[in-house]
Amino acid sequence: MSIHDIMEWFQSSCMILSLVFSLPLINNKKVIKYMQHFYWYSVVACLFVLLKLTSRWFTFPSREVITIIGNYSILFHFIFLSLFILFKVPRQKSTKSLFALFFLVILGTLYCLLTSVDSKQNSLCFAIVNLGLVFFCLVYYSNFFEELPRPKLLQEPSFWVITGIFFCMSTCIPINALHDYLRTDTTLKLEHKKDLFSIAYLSYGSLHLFIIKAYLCSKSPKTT
Amino acid sequence: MFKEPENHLIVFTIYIVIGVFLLCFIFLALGYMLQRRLLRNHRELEGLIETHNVTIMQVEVQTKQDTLAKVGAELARTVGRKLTQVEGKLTSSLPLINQENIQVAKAAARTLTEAVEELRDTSRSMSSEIVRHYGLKRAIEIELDQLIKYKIFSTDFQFGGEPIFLKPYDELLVFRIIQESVKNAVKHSEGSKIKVFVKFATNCLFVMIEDDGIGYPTNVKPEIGKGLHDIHQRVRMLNGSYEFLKSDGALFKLSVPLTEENILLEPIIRPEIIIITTEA
Repeated sequence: MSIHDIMEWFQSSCMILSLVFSLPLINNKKVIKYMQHFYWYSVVACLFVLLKLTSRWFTFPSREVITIIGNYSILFHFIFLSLFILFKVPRQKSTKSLFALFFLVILGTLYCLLTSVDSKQNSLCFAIVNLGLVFFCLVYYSNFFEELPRPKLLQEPSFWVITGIFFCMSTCIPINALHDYLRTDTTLKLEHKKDLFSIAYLSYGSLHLFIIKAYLCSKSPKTT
Repeated sequence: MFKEPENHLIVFTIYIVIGVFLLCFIFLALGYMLQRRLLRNHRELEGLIETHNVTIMQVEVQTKQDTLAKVGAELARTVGRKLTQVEGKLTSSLPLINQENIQVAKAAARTLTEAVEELRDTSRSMSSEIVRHYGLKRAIEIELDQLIKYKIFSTDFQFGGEPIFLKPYDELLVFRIIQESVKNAVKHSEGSKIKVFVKFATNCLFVMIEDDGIGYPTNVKPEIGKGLHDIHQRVRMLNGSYEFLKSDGALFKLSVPLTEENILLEPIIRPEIIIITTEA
């Protein structure tokens, strides 16, 4: 089993686990309001994992179809997470510009997706989305450090989700930025390339671990 | 495995990823430490504000207390003395007054005696000496006796539990709260009976004051008058809690925690006091 396979399994397990941990939150009124519908993220991630696993064992769906679905699912990923962050950022004068940037990133991503001719992973889309999310995370942190100190910071689900996004997206940016270049470089061995790209699996797996922590905090009545 | 020159790019990318990860970690760790420091400063500031407010409140209450005592003493000294002199002169001149006016003169002398008595009671009630000398229980009894004496209200005073000696200042605060509540009941309740219940529990002092009057209006937001403000301040200084409830009339409940800070370990020996009440 290569590093790539181990990381892929790690990511898949984390996604499935996050879905399991999200189940008690469904229709649970004791859960903090903004976390009540967050389980959709885990549901979609798990569906994607299931599709990937199915494509490994069966001929349908093909690798190309999975890649295309993966490319388009980045839109859901971006819209869901950035709206989550933006609604946690206190309403300020800059809110309009943040939403403008949000739509700009969506437009940019859509343009890249629609103009792409091959069925390979669109790393430019991923890079744009990652940058957008990292920027929103930084806005959240800047507001968050300017505000009054929070005594129960480590029990806030939003802090864990956004920290997870921040780590995951930041570490994925260099990989996505170099993705196309590395892919076309013929001097590199394929297994080494795959090992390098597996860093992204590790990051996404970690993001889901952070989300699990957020789910666990959401159930605690102390955080309300 | 990455020693070949063509793999340097992969090593470089890995370094970048690790670098980015470490940068993010340092950024978050610093931010978290900053938050903790801000929180500590904020708590210290809140503590200072609270201490400042409590000090101001203590000074305010103490000033009120001193002013009351001074005004009471001054009233007894000046107006009381003058009234006593007038009363003495009037009594001594009674034999000289003719038969037609003697009844009027006697009535005037009686009214003067009552006025002197009332003034003395008011002065005593305003002074803190009564609580210091005779203790909380006796001071409440004396306060309630005034209501019976002037036929204002009938009273029922119950004292329960094993008495614990409060520190003089705290005892005075409790007395002033009871005094203010009783005064409120007399002024606003339109009732005829007032019940005062004081109980010392293990860790708490409970006070209940109930009247048979009209109670509190339910549809009108109560105004915070000076009396209520004073009660609120004093309860806060005692770290206690209070509530106004509606029973048959109105019910005021006060609870004061008894801690090492407000109780005396050695009892105070106080003389017995006998109050002679004169019928009006």
